[in-house]
Amino acid sequence: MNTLEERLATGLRNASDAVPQATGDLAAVKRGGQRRTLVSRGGVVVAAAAVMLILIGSVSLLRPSSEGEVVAASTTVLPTTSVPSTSLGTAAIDPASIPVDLSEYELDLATVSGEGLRARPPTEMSASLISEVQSGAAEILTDISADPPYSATLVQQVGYDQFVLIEHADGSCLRVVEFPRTRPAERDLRGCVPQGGPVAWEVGGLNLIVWWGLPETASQVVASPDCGPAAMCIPENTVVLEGVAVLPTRYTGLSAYEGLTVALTAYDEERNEIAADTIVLPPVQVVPEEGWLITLDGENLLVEMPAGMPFADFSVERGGLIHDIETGVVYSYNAVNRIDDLEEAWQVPPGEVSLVEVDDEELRGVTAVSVGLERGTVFVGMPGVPATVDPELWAGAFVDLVGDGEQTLVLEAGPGYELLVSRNDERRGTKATLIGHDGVMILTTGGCFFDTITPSSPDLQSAPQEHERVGTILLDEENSSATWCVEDITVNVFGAETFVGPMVDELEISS
Amino acid sequence: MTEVMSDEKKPVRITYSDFDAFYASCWDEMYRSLAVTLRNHDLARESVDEAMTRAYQRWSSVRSYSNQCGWIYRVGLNWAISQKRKTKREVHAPIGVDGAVDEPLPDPDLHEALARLGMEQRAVVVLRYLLDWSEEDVARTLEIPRGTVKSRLNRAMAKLREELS
Repeated sequence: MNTLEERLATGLRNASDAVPQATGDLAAVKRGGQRRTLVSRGGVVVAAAAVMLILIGSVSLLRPSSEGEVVAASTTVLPTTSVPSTSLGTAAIDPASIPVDLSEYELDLATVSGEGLRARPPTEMSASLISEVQSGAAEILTDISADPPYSATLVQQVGYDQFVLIEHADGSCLRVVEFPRTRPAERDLRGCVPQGGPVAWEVGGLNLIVWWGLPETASQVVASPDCGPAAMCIPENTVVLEGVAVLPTRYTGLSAYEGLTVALTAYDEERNEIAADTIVLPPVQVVPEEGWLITLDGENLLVEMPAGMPFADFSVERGGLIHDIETGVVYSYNAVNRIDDLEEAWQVPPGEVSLVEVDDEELRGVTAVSVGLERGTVFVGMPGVPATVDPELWAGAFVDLVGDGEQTLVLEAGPGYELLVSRNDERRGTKATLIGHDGVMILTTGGCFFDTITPSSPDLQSAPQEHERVGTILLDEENSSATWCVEDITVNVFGAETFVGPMVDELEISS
Repeated sequence: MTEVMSDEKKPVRITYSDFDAFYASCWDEMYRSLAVTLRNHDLARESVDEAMTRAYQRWSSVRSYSNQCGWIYRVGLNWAISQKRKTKREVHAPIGVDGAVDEPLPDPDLHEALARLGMEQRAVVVLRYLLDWSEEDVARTLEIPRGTVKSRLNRAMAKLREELS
C-alpha cells in the first residue's frame, strides 16, 4: 500500500492530467495589461471625479441632443482635495502628488431616464458593448421598477470597464454596476447603498472605497497626520473630495467604532499589506430615515434600521450581521446574498448573552456568540469559540465581520475589565491595527503575524487617549490556521481578577 | 532564464526576464494546478489569465520575483476566491475537476476526500504534492509563514487519513 503522500501525488497528477487542454492568449493578456496600466494611473481620479460630478450635479456638463436625450459631454475633471483639522490632526493631500496624467482621460457622462439607458455611444465604445450596457441597465431598472424612479448614469472609462451608477430619484441610494469589456455578464458589484454608506468599487484593478453622499463635506473625512508607519497611512493617492472619500484600497470592513469615528482597514491582497486609518463620520447620524444609522451612545454601538430597511451593509457585497436593537433580531447575510436573501438568523433578547448554533450552509455551522448586548454588539464566531467563557469576565470569538471569510478575532472584556493580548515569537509583525475601546479589542486578520502595540507605539501616538489599550494581531484567514496561530496567545484580563490562558479550544482560564 | 535554485523538493525559483518566456513556461502548469485546487477548470483558466494580465501590467516588478509562477498561482487563487464569493459558483463535484473528465479518475475516494478539504488546505496540498514544492516555497508562494503551511498540511493530511481509513 502506498503512503498517503504517494497516493496523493499520484491522484493529483491524474487530476491535473484530466484537466481539459487549454491554451492561453498571450496577446490578449498583453492588451489587457496595457489597458489596465492606463486605467490604473487614472482610475482613482476618474472614479472620484465621476462621483463628484454626480454629487455636485454637474448638469452644465450635459447638453441635450436634438432628440431630447441627454447626451454625453466629455470633460476632464480635476479633483479637489482638502482635509481640515480635527482631533486627529490635519493632513492635506496635494493634487500634484497624485501620479496621474489627467490629459489622457476623458470622462463621459450620460443621464438616462428610468426607462432604460439612452446614452449616445461614444466613438470608443463598440455597438455590442453599448447593447450590453443598455440591456444590463434595463434589467436593473426593471428590477427596481417597484421603487421610486431611478436615474442611471453611465460612466464610461476609456479603454476599460464601464460603470453604470444608479441612484434613487430622491438621491438616497446608489448602485454601481460594472460592465467589463472582457466578460460577458455584467457584474452588479454592489447592492443598493444608502446615502452615506461606503461603496466598494473596483476600477481598473484598483479597489476603491467611495463614501457617497456624506451629509457634509470633506471636513468630515480625516487622515491621520502622523503618517509615519505605513500601517497608519491613508494611501498617498487617496483622493478626498467634497463629500466623498475614495480610497484606492481593498476594503475589508469597518473594524472598530469609536463615537462616529470609523476605523477603516484596507488589505492589499497582492502585496499582503494592510493599511488602516480612521475616518471620522459626521457628528450626526448618517441617514436617519431611509437608511441605517450608526451612532455610539456611550459605549453602545447602535445599528438601527428603520422599517422596511432592516439591515446595514457595511461592505455592500460582503455581508455580515446586523442586530436590530429594538426587536433583538439578528440578521445575517453574506457576500452572495442580496437584500432579498436577508435571513432572520436568531433572536436574542436585549440585554442577554447567548450562544447560538446557526445551521446555515453559508456560515458553515458557526457558533454565534452574542456578547454584551447591552452594548449593542453582536459577534459571530467560528467553531472553537469558547462556549464556556464567563461573559461577565470576557468573551472571545472569531468573527467574519464582513462575510468575506476573513476571520477577525474579537475580544471583549466584561465591565470593569481590560484586555491585553501578548505574545512574542518569530511571527511578530506590526502590520495591522487593533482598536481597543473600553475593553473591546478587535483584531484584524491577514496572516499569522502578531504584535502588541503599546500606547507609546508610534503607530498609535495619534490615537485618542481612550484607545490606549490597543494592540495588533494578524491572524491567518483560514479559521483553522487562525486557531493554530493563536493557540499560544495569552489573554490577560485585568480587573478585579486576572486570568491568563490560551484562546482556543479549552479556554481554560487560570487565575 | 536567469536563476535556478535547488531545494529539498522540486526547484521552483526560476525567474524569467522575458515575459513571453515566463508566460510560456508557467501558464499551463498554473492553469492545471489552479484547476485542481479550485475544482473548476473554467475558473482556473480565467484566474491564470487574470494573474498573467496583472503580471504583465507589473512586469517590471514581477520579473524580479524569485518565484514568478508561484506569484501567478497566488494571485490567480486569490482572484478566483474573490470571484467565487461573488458568484457562488463553487461546485463540489464527486470526482476529478468539476466533473470535466469523461472517464472517472482512479482512486475516486481520494478525490472525494480532496474535494472536501477547504480551499486553503487544498492549495497547500496541491503545491506540495502536485507541484512537489518545498514547504518553504509553498509558504513564499502563498505568503504565509512556514508554520502555517505545516499546520495546513498536517490538518489536511489528518483529514484525508481519517476519510480514507
